[in-house]
Amino acid sequence: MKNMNNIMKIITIIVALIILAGIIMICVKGYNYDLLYSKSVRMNIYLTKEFKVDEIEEIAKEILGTNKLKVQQGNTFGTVVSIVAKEITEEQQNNIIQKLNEKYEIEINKDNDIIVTQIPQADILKMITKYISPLVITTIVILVYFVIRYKNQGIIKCIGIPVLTLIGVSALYVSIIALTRIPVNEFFIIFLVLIYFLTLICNAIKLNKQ
Amino acid sequence: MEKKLKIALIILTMVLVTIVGFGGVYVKKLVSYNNILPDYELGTNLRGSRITTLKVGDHTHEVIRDSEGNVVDKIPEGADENSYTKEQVPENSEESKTIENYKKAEKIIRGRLKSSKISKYDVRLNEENGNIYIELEDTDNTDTTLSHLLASGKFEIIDTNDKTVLMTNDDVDNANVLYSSTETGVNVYLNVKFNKEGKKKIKQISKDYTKVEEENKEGETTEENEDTSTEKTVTMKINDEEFLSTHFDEEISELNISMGSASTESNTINENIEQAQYYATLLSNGEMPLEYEVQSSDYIQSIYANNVFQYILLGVMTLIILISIVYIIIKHKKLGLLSAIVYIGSIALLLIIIRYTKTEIGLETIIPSIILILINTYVNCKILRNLDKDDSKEDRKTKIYKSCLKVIDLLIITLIPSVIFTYNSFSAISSIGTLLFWGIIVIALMNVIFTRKLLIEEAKK
Repeated sequence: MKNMNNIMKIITIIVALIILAGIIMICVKGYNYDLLYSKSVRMNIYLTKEFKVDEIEEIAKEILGTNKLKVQQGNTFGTVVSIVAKEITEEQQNNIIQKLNEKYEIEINKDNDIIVTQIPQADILKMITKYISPLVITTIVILVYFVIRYKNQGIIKCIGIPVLTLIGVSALYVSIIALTRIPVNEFFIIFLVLIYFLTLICNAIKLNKQ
Repeated sequence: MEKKLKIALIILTMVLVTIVGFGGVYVKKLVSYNNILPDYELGTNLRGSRITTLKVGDHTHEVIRDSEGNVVDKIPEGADENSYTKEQVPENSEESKTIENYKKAEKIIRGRLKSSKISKYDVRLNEENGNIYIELEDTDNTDTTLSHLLASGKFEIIDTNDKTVLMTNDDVDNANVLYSSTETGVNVYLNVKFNKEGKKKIKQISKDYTKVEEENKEGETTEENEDTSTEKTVTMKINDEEFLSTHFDEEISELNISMGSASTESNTINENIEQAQYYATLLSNGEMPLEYEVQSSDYIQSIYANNVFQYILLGVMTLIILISIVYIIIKHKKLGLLSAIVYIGSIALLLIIIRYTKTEIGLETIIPSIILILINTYVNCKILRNLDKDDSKEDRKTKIYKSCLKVIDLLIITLIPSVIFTYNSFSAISSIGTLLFWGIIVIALMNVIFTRKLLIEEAKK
């Protein structure tokens, strides 16, 4: 039992340190956003012929000299292609057009057939905001249920521990993502919500067992 | 014999549900076989979306001023053109291009999307040049939505005669759509609510701008001569266009403006509602500080729209299910196998329900899927854990009943978020709730009806 307590203390300290390091990392360097969520450039090209995304990806990689890019197909007719990269200079745009002209034997007009736009960085808080109200309502209702159902176990076990574990586990997750520099994209929020739910369910199972 | 028949019947039912759920029901139509089950509804992150960039307008427009410097719409016919000056004015002055105005424009656009009940969007602001990046679900109404975002939303109530501005957006609190049924049909109203200052103003305006009947010398109103009544009217302008001119019959604190005339035809009613909703959205979110124009707007497929990613996702989910099923079978042998058959049937039934309830399948579906897999595995293990191969039917009934009581808590706790999430306005969040809700119902019913029955029938005595 004493050993168990010591192990719990060590785990708590490690978790606290990771969260602290994560907070520092978020404040100093922020998150490592995935390309589609970070400040980038989108180059939409209107082709007159159908193309294969893989072929255009090859051309873009060769000209931009990086693998960090995304090529997306546009309309359902398969004649609009969108290249997203950190930066696409004027010269690189010209080179891409030239290569596409050669490959597909077409003539792309830079003024009419190309639109280059800057994509601003996504705001992680705004991405999470829409989940906040349903999660807060869920948590309150479930905590009320815990208090009614397991009132004999005391307020600390019914409210204190679940709230602490929810905050702790969520903070640990976001800190690990910040520290490991895993790119933040739609999966970041999906797994955050999933972890939140699973923590709530685990709390319910634990209370039920007791 | 009867016992074996019952078990076989349940297994057969499960096999049938599994075939329909995973494969579908194919019926021959002319030359080909078509699945008569509805298709799955894919979310925007598995299909694609409309990606639009709005840029701060850089056009100029001509402004005509008279000799006194007043702005006029056009030079009156026959007037001396030399006494008027024309100048090109940028639609957005350099002074107006500030970070505060960029942020205000972004906030208004977010507000308009929310008020328009757009269920999925992403809005990002380029703070350097004020450009706004918008990602929307691509539907038949996307172009209309975008055009609504570009509207200035400027609201004014002015004196019709001397053009004095009496009220502006600053006086508006919010606006919404109201309906009333009369004998002639459904009336649709645009209801404009004002803030504290606005209420004072509209009360005063509604007192000042009434139809006044002039009294004759004897102090009696003249009935024969209509010219003796004078009207002081106000003109309401939205987006710098005249919306209506009116006077007031009584003191009011909020405006109710009838949209079109009462109608019994659903098309006309819907048009009136759409129109009222458009103005309500504009008025609720304020006036755009800058003029914006569309730089680009294209439907772009999601990077997850390709089959390879979707197969990987499907493969991972299948693997998790397989691991759960194998675990149950290894741990509980024959009883585990019987439970596993119902487990697979539950998944198949849920797939059929997803098709019919048109639940959106997106990346967010991962959340309820994993939760449901874990809960179903937990429920099965909980039921099987206390059973013994030498149990009598009565023992099994009691043990299963006790196990079910223990897992009810877990099912209730999962039902709570499912209901809350289902009623969220964002489609991705509501689909999490819908799937979770039906999943819990399926797990509860399938285990109570089929797993329980199979396990009881399997008992030797």
